[in-house]
Amino acid sequence: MITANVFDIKRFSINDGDGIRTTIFIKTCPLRCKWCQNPEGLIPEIRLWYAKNLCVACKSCIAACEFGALDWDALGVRIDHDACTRCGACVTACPTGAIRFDARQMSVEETLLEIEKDRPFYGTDGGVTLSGGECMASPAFSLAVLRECRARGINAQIETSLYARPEVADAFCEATDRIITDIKLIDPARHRAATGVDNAPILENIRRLAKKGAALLIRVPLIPGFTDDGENIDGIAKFVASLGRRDIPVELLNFNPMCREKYESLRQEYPFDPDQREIPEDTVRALKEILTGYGLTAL
Amino acid sequence: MEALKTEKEYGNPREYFGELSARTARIRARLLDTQPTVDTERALLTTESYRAHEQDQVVLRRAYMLDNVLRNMSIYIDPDALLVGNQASSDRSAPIFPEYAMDWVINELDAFDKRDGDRFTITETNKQILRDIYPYWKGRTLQDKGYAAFPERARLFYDLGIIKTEGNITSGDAHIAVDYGRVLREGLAGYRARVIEQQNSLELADFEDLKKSYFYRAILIVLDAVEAFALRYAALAEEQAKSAAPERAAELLEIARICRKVPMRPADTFHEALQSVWLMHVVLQIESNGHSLSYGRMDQYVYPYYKKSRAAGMSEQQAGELLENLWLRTFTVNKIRSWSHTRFSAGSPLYQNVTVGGQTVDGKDAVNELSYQILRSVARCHLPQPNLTVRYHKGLSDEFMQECIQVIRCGFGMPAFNSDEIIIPSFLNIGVKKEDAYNYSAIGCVEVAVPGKWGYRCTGMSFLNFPKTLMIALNDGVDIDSGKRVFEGTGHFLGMERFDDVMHAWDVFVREFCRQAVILDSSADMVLEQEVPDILCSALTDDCIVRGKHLKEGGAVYDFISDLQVGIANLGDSLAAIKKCVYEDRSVTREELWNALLSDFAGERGEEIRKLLLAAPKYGNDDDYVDSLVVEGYDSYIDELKKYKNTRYGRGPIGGRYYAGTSSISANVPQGAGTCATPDGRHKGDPLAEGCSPTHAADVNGPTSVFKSVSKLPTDKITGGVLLNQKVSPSMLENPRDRQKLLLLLRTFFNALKGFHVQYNVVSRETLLDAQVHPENHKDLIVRVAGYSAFFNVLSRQTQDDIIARTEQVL
Repeated sequence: MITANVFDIKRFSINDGDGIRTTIFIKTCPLRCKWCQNPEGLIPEIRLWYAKNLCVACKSCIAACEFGALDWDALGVRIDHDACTRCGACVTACPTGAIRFDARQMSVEETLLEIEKDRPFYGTDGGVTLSGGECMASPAFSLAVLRECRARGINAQIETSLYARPEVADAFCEATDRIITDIKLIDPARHRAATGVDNAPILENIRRLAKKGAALLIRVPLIPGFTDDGENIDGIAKFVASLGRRDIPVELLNFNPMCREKYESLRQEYPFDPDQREIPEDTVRALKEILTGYGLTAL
Repeated sequence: MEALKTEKEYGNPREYFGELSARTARIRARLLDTQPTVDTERALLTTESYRAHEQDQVVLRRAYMLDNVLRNMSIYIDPDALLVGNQASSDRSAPIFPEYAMDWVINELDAFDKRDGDRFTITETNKQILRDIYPYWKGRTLQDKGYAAFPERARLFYDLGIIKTEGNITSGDAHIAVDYGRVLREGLAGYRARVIEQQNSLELADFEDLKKSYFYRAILIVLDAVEAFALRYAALAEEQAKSAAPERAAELLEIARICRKVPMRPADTFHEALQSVWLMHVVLQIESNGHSLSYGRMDQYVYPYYKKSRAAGMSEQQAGELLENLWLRTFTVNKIRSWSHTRFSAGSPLYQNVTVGGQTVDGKDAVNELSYQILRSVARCHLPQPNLTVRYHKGLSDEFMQECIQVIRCGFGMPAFNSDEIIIPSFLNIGVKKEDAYNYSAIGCVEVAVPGKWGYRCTGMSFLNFPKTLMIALNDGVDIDSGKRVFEGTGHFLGMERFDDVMHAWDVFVREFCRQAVILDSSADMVLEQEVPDILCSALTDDCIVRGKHLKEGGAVYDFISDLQVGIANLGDSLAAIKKCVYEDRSVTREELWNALLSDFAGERGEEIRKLLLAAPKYGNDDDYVDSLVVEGYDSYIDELKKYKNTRYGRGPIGGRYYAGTSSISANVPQGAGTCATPDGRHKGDPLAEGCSPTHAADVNGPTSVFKSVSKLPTDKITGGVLLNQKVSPSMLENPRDRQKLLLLLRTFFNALKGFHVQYNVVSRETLLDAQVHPENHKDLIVRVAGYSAFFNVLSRQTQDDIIARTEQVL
């Protein structure tokens, strides 16, 4: 049975593609972007997740653990993931759902059942979006879901870094109605520093898919101090213009400070000033003008 | 999608609809600055007339009352208005209707201006007037007779607040739309002719005919009184014209000309039509203080006059200004209720509904230019009245829907959508003729009926508190707060070995409580029929004149009514939490749960139990575990209700029966205040869930899941209305792309899931919080309370908090 570790299913998601969609978030990602919005989706394994806001400090989880993987400190429950055997005793013991697994292993069939729930709302534009993590890192599962969706008449799209081997990217291209992909940084050195990987395979995939006529939407996350400078946007604009595909829009995604709590739960350092807010509209407008200056459609 | 591309974007959605005309802006400003007061004119004139006509048949007594009021009450013309007709001696003042109830009026006289919400001022002179007439009404009011008529056991349910029916014995009925279209076509002269024709064929030796003869005489008296009322305005306008500036003098003379013509004769112009409709509408609200008197499908029956006047040169602006005049007059009507009743209907709502859109009898889209004009003029007025409903159907254009969404963006809770796709088939199914089913309109808020053919209260009979019913069922028939036994139980929860025992207890109790509600309803209907029949309202409803029967005697073509069920989500969530925590997971014992409920989750273990209960599946998330329990629990009630008949059964109307309804108005707040902690994790005293909406903040999967959960209810059997409120922040509707998604969402809810109703409160949480601190900065902030809109700053603190707590759907 083909399965994947799904860490979230978001119904009525309207920012991940056209129409009303259900977005499936699949674990594991080859990139390590410093600003990752879904840090729980980076590693492939299912782990325990602790939500402090739900915790009533009853410590039943600690009492239930036979492996000494849990203890208590000023930040609440501390999890030793190496000692944890994923037996689930603490999850059962927790009365409020504060301790839970961060993902669920789902089969293709189970995933499709969830997708079908909002079928009436999809219409012709809406449908399903696979996201992550990186859906291309679980190709067997992702391709099976995408193909089955399209066989059932459900519009299927993906959000991907396109950091994948060309033949994998091509297979996904065949199986989807649209590919939403990021260009985070155009400069290879800066890209490597911020994400841990080279951007050459990404740009190469975009170039090749564009030539094949694939339906693409390119997104640039505007991350303060990382990607939001005019030089980067200008470089990206130049690259997209060079594709010769005026129908490929570029969307600037403003910084979203909402993921801070996730870093707290993971006990990882939040890479930004806690007071960092969205980038001002005027700045975003100026960056969009760079794009339109190259004759591109800026969203 | 073409319309979207060319659309200009408006930061402030109210700019989209432009400004009121200079004159209507002045009227509106004056109305907003008016502090509602209590008016005693009608009380005095009614008392005078009742004293003089004690010996007369009740229908004649009622007619003489209206006659005396219309001939002698103060009338005035707003210096800027183009339409005339006032309910009381000044705008926004609330008349007292002594024949319905006086005890609460006298008891609360000194507290009217100290209320936490819905404040009314009253002068010392007026207080004295009311105290002076009070002795006459002792034992004569509807309420006195109602209390005397309640059987003992049923009275216990009333007193303990399990079943709330106060509004039905302290007010008139209304919840009706009469056929204004026929008034416009025939004029009241046509009605008079029909009555005389019936009179001429009576055989007074026949007892039935003898009874009818009083009713016919009564109709002729009120028709004459309405004519006299209109002529008084004509004379006043002519008088004022003598000293007015030339431009205003011309307007006043036109008003005088129109009032000499309508409503007695048929209307010809748009202005005449609106004046005729308004005068009838205000007189009906002088005849009775029943609320939810509705305009029906105004974009249909006024359209011929609109078209004719437009062809004759009336500009769009002129038409818009006349409509604005109508809505501003509509807003002048006011009602004061007892404090206990006010808490069930916060914001002094009159629920004067106007319906647009829908289909013609042959299934074509009925939207016309006037539909747009009504939408836009109501948006410009931005007031809690009238209550605007759009009849949705598959063929409603995107263009019209987008216009509706622009009105939603204005943030005053309108329009609400009712769907033809479920309502018309439901009506056909219960025996409504096709041409009538396709002509239905909204009445009040979410409820529906056929204008001019349907009796009173297609919804709005008594309220049954579902969670309280469950708690009494679990407590073996004893009311927890009072300790009084109300029914022979099926055993206590502590002894219920299986979850099936819980469901069985619920089934037995909800059936009995449903039966008790019907007993209270019938008692109320009986005294309403005997004491306060409405003559004019009956004359305007088919087939009262033909049958010689007023509405309460069975004069209407159709007569279905509905009770209201409150706390549906709390019931389902409670059942699911009991099933999961006590019987499946066994994480809480029966004793622990029971003690936690009685102690309102006191102590550490109490709080732990509450968290466990809260973690159980909740209605509104498309989760069959709980949704199926909501349906099963509700089905017991619906199945029981269909056994019962109302007091008009077999006396003429099609129907004479009940169906279920969920338009709980703001009853969820006071009924929650009187209910102990419940197994869904709700604290003692917290509001219940409203309508068929999920419990506050329990819907965490977004709007599609809410729609899916709601659509699992047996909507085709809840013809009294399935009320769903959703709250959205203004930011959600700023760009055309998101508005298009809202439209998609609505279409799916109605087309595929067969939803009945939905309405949106578009206002940010921050705005509401700020309005609590700085009410002076938010004088015109309107929120959707349940099936209607109200000014936020007149609501009680508790209702305000309840609105703020509702889940804000993130689109």
